[in-house]
Amino acid sequence: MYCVVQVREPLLGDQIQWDWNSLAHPCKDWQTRYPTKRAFGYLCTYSPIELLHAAGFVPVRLVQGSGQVALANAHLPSFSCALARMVTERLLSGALDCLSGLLVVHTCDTMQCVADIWHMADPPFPLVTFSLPTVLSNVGARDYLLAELHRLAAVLESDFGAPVTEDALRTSIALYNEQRRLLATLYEHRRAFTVEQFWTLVLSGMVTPVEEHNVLLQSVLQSVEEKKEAVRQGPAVILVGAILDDPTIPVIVHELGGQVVWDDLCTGSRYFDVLVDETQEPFGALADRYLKRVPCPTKHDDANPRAEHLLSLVHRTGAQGVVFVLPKFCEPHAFDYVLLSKALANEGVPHLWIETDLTAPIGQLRTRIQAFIELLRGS
Amino acid sequence: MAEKRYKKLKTAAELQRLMQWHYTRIRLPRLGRPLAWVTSGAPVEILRAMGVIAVYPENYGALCGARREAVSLCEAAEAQGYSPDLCSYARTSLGSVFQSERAPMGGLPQPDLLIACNNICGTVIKWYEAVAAHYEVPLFILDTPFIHGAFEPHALAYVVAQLEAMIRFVERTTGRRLSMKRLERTVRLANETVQLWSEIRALCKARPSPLNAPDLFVNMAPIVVLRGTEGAVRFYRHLKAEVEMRVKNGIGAIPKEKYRLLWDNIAIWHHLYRFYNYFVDYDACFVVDTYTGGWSQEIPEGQSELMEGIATAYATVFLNQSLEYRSHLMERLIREYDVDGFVMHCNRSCKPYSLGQYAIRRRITEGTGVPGLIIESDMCDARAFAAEAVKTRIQAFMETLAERK
Repeated sequence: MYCVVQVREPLLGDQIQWDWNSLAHPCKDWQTRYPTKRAFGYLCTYSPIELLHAAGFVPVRLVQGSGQVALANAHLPSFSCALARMVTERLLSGALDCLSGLLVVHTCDTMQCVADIWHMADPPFPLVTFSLPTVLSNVGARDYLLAELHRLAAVLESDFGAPVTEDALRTSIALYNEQRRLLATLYEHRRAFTVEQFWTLVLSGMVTPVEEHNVLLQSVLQSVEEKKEAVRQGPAVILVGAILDDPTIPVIVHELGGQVVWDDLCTGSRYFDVLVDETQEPFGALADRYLKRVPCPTKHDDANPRAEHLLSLVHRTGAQGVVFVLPKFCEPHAFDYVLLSKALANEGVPHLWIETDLTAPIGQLRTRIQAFIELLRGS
Repeated sequence: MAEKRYKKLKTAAELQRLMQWHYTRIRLPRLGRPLAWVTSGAPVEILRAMGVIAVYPENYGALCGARREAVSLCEAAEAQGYSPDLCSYARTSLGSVFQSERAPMGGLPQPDLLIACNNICGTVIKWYEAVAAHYEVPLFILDTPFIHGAFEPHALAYVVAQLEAMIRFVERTTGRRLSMKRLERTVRLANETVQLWSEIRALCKARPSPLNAPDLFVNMAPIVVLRGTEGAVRFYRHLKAEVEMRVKNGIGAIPKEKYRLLWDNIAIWHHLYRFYNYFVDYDACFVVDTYTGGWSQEIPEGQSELMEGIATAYATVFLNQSLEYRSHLMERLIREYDVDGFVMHCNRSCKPYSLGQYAIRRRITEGTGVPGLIIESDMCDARAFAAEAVKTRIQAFMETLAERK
């Protein structure tokens, strides 16, 4: 990724710029920007990035991005999600060659398959898999997860010559906790920034070294406290979905007089939702964070806390509506959508359902969002 | 056509009676016996040993598909907000739950409990969550971590811990106790069923093959639904005897076997006979497939802990293992069954089975030189089937095979 944000220069909200297309291209300029740093790719918020960091890598998140799919068509059928197809495309075209490794966590059926497809496509870096339990509340899930984290550490040492010491892991955990706290603070002050600036600040953290991103966030948040936050009016909504790696939809919401006040997105609040306990043994603490989080749709929890979580977000933020932004062909989200939308309907909270794919029909999107915001205004 | 393209088995009537009895019995008064909906890869031996009646929504989905009644049920699920891109077994099942009046046999009887094992896919988790929410019945999910490399000891320990939790769950929800003696007996019966089924499939190494893919797909029902019962063992003994006779007398499943093919993925239920008959027109017989071989894991008895045996058998099923594992297995089948070509059903409903097929095809053709055809369709949703386009692709593929002969 190439981020125009320079941490060495004084940072003010209106100076934050971002080349959105570069988010999906972390290898562009990597060598010149970070000649001594090794990038390690990952996709999902259930990836133990603290371990990768403690082993000396910069964890770099791979997102969908936009562009043409050509090479990937010989590797994936048309009914694969856009994230799978786009990352496959970049992997095959050499656009991810700066990576030293790629970690694929088992979440959904698609990730399970692409892990093997990418491995069989012989990329110039090793691919590492990590099988998270699907039922995090299960008997034995914590023991299993702990063993799997230790296995991953052993693989990093044996296959990459990158051992993880407990001290290094503690340091990495502290750094990522700091990032999580800063992101949570940023979320509370989102009105001080334009929508593009806000998402730049959130997403840049997933593709730049955490140390750098923390400095950036500290710096912009400091200036925020001196600035008067813009008072925005208009219907407040929460975004729910998976990967949102470009600000088109929140921008449209704002342009049409609404405001996004929070989200339940993999590239949003689910990235920073729970802190790792720094007082605990670090591997166990990492495992416990995964067990404590409100699970994503690929996981099962007997208590089924997703609907309750969404409703509590709605109440806490005073949102009047929910906008689902769901990737086409994503089974886990499509199933949960039915249960979540029913829970919202029971509470009288209106929702809008948007399905995303490789390209978004902007005109139609705008019309639908406009109708939704008008509905919220009337209610 | 002078000769019928499909040679009916004599045991077909017995199969029909057996399955009809199953679907009748689950509707009879059960005298307090609880009824569970289970996935095709759930360790049913434990349930049977505890006196729980198991029914299979996947088998029911296939049945609705074959009767061409799945589409209207899919539409019923779609009307409730379920995306048409979701698995058509799940949509068929949920449709039959929401609108049982539309469903064959009025749908499945209401469950008392649900057991889903994710060794076949992640879809079953969400599907069973939706069923559990609808009927307000308890759900147990048996989590078998996907095996990209080796089945690790910590994964085995995790699955064993869950099997024990599953037993406690069933005890708690049904008030029944597990007798280890009954479990051992059920496992023995299940293993016997699995052995017979494996032997029947192996008989298709003969030339001509005594069975074609539709035979395998129709006759697999008891291995899924009645595994671990006397009735299934009896049926497969009879089927095996008949198939052995066919081999002995040189009787093939199709009138003239010129090409031997391998099938990958779930059947296209709504076009089962019609679809395979397109190939019969070219004298091509599907002598082996990967799907009906999915129930070929015996549970090791005797030496090791029984729970470890059950955990290993269910966690290491074909669909819970890597694409490389699947490629190797298919290469082995191609050699053992002397196969000329393979056809992969790229099934919109089944991502874990279908997304890796391009990679597998490439690997197999590199390894064996045998060509493969990929056809995109759907197992139950007939709206995703374009007959003319499919026929054209089959024709081109068969011409390729003819050139190689």
